[in-house]
Amino acid sequence: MSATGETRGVALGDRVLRTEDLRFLVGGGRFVDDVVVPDALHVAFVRSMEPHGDILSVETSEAASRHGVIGVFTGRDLVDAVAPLRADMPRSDWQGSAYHALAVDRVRFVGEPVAAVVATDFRLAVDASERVVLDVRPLEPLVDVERALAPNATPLHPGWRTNLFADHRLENGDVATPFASAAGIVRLDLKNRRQVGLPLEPRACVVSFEGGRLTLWTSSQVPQIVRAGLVSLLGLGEDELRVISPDVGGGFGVKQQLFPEELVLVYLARALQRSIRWTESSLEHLLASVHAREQYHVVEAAYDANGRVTAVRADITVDAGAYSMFPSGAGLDGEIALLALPGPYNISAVDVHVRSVATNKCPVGPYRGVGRPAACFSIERVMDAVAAKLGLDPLEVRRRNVVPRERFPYRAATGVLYDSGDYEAVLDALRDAADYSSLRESSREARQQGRCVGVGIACFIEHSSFVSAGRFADRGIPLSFREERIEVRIGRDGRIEVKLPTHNHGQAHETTAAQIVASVLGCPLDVVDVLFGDTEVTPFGIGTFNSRSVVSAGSPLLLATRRVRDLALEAAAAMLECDVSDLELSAASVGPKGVPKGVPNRVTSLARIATWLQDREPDVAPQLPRMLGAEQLFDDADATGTVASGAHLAVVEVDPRLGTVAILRYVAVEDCGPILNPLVVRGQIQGGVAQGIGGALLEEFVYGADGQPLSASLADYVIPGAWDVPEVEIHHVVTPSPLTAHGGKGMAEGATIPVAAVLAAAIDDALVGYGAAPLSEIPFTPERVHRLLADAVAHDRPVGEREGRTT
Amino acid sequence: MNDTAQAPELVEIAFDVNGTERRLVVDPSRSLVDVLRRDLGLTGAHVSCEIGVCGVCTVVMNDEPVRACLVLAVQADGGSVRTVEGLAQDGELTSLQEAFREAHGLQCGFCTPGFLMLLSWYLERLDRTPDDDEIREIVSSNLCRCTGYQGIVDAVRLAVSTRTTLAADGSAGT
Repeated sequence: MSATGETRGVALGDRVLRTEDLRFLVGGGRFVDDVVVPDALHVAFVRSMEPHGDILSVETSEAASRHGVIGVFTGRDLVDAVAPLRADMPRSDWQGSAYHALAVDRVRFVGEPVAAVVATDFRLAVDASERVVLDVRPLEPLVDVERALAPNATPLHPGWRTNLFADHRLENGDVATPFASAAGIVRLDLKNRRQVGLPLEPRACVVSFEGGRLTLWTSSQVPQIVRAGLVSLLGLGEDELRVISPDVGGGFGVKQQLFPEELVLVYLARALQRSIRWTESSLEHLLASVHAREQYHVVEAAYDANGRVTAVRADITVDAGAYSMFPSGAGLDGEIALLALPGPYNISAVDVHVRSVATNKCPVGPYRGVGRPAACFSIERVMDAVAAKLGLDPLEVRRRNVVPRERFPYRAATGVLYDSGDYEAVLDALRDAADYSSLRESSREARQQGRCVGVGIACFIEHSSFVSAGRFADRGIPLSFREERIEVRIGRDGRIEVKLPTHNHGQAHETTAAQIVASVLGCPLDVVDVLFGDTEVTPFGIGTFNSRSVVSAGSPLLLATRRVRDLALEAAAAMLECDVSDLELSAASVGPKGVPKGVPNRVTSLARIATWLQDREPDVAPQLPRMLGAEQLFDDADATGTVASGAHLAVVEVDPRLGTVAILRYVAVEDCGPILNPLVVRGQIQGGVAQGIGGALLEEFVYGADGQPLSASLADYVIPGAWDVPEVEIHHVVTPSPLTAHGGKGMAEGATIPVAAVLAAAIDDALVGYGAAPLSEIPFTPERVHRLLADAVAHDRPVGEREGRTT
Repeated sequence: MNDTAQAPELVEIAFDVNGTERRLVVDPSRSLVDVLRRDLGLTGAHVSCEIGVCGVCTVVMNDEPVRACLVLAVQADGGSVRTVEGLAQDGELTSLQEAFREAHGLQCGFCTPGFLMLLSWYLERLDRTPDDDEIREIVSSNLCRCTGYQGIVDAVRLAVSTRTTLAADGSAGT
């Protein structure tokens, strides 16, 4: 409310409470499993219990004869009608895989779908599925990259030479000279173990079959891509299938794929001419959705006497699992790690070799940060190692290495354009916010008193929003469009309809879109209807991932709304027969400039302007359109990507007897440009750090040497609870992006990226008195921390004998 | 047909759901959350881990919070069940629901009903002002993958202070 008591439209930058909350708070969210369609059949999947082997037979007759069972379907039944999922990179080193909706001839990981049992009731389907007998002749399980790359290893896919999806090298700048003339060289061997994004809402599909028309409700970040893939692989006409992704209970990248189960469900609905549904179990999600993060980095960095890193060599090996997922592809995680390796640092020479290895494990897909957390861990461990070797403060080493502010826009050695930023200001803000030097001092004192307290910092950048529909199409993703479309339109009733190409699953798109519109038109938030996630309503989009929505939808929406404002003024000028320059728009009404609000008959509401435009005679103001609306496209040229940045600091205390890590303090400085809604940005940072903490300290999906998953429930795969995550102290630096209308940059993954690097540095600092080796393997579970200490002790002295030996 | 499966014997049960007596005939092997969702259309309680770890299915049964994925529907017979759909009265949010919104205690909204039921039950029994550790302890009963918990902890603190203010004003009614 303004001083006059008049409702004013919200502005960009205001802390705006979320409009979508109102339905979630009363149990009114509508997730896929909440969707009711009459007389739906139920599907239970039979999944491989072998990690690798040839299918000899799938015996279905007993299951098929069970009470309530409509049919049992195998890979052989589907293979002629359903093309396999493929996602290939147009590169000579690439070897592709075919991921069948149901396995044909061979299984390649535990959990791979082999048969589908259809029954009238879910429990009958599950009971019957246990009667399907799968006979597999086992092959050697290639469970790790070493075994998969061994010279005698069985090729995982037909026609393959080696078990490599991708084998790619990027070399730029003179790497040899800096190494030859270096003051020192850091060599690190770093391991990022396998993790799962694990949104709490399981994957789920409901397909209705009505009047020959199919509608799929699926829990997806990318409903338009799901439709494009389904239509192409099932040979459907685009109009035969509508895909709706309603409320989605978390995505984090996991739900940006087209999954085999979606193919099976739509195929079965069509074949049986019945509605059909499936919601996965937690076990199915953990075994057979997508995994993430498993990368091995061997990094060498040359540095000069001032602690400047002058060149980096890296050998990155990604354990990509059994198949290349559609649409992201098995090469994505490694490719992003390659591009992200230099981070915020001005390193002019890089030589990075990335291999994406096929193994008998669940396929790998993107998960919040996508390759960047591993890249960040590598380069930040380098910075810490340089600091230790030269006896410099870790923050000072980073300051000497970051891209100087006068270099923006900056083209990195990887080819990535850094559009904006001020990394020195970010480090200054972190130093000031944390009271850095006294923090170092107090942790040193704590160590002298026998406590294992340490401080760690790390920097990161988040290059986001660089994916476009056109680039997907160029990679063979069968999209019928190359541009995404953002629409805003004002109706006769004054309601404002916004259509987004993106998908909201927790990031507050409904609120932010309404806020953007309200900031231009001065309307209340609750007159804005934000539509997305339904291919009948918003077909021209590729969904939400890559922290892209604020750039690929938010910025175009702002431009479109400004055009609507200009159009409303022009139309009002024609209506009122006055000059447009005499008019102004405020509080969703157009009136003469300078006339106080509330003067009757002098102001014209947007609803009246919209109505007048539609109803006017053809010869009245013929230059104006019928609709009070505008659209804005987002295409390849717009998708150059924004680069947000930040730096985090943690203070930790390690219990050396247990190897446990308590986070005493966590500080985050971020720069995503001007903030549209601080409520949302803070929420993304707090939540992002939480996922980073899970990744750094708790989460590891383990396979046994026999290829069997050992982390197959939420009791074994541990995600952070309220005690694991401290309140993050959040601070901001603002450098606007020149690439967006609002100056904002994608930021929703950023806070996850540096957490492992920050905590590694803090734990190392805490344990400096033990002479333990620097942490090199994520996650830093109590077992690993304890073993590190035990190893140090074995070579040195007993745990518990602490002398406060610090450097 | 070579059908060896026997149709289960169905059981008639009755319990109070959000103040209304409901009578149902159910397969005794079905969980409470399944019956709430499928038979009564109360889809606010969700299902995720299915082993009682995550708490997205939390409802209040006989004045205790329960994991509705681990409770059989027949166990509710003769008792009472409260779900998220019963919190707001005549469209008016409770102070806890308001506080969740104010403190950004939810993002995707999937775990929210479980937290609201757990924490509503907690606040009803609270006879003093809890410290932050106590709030964090009760919040740690359930899992959230989006918020990093701070918004939820803040929401509880805010709801406690709102209630205290109301009581001090003497306008809290009871």
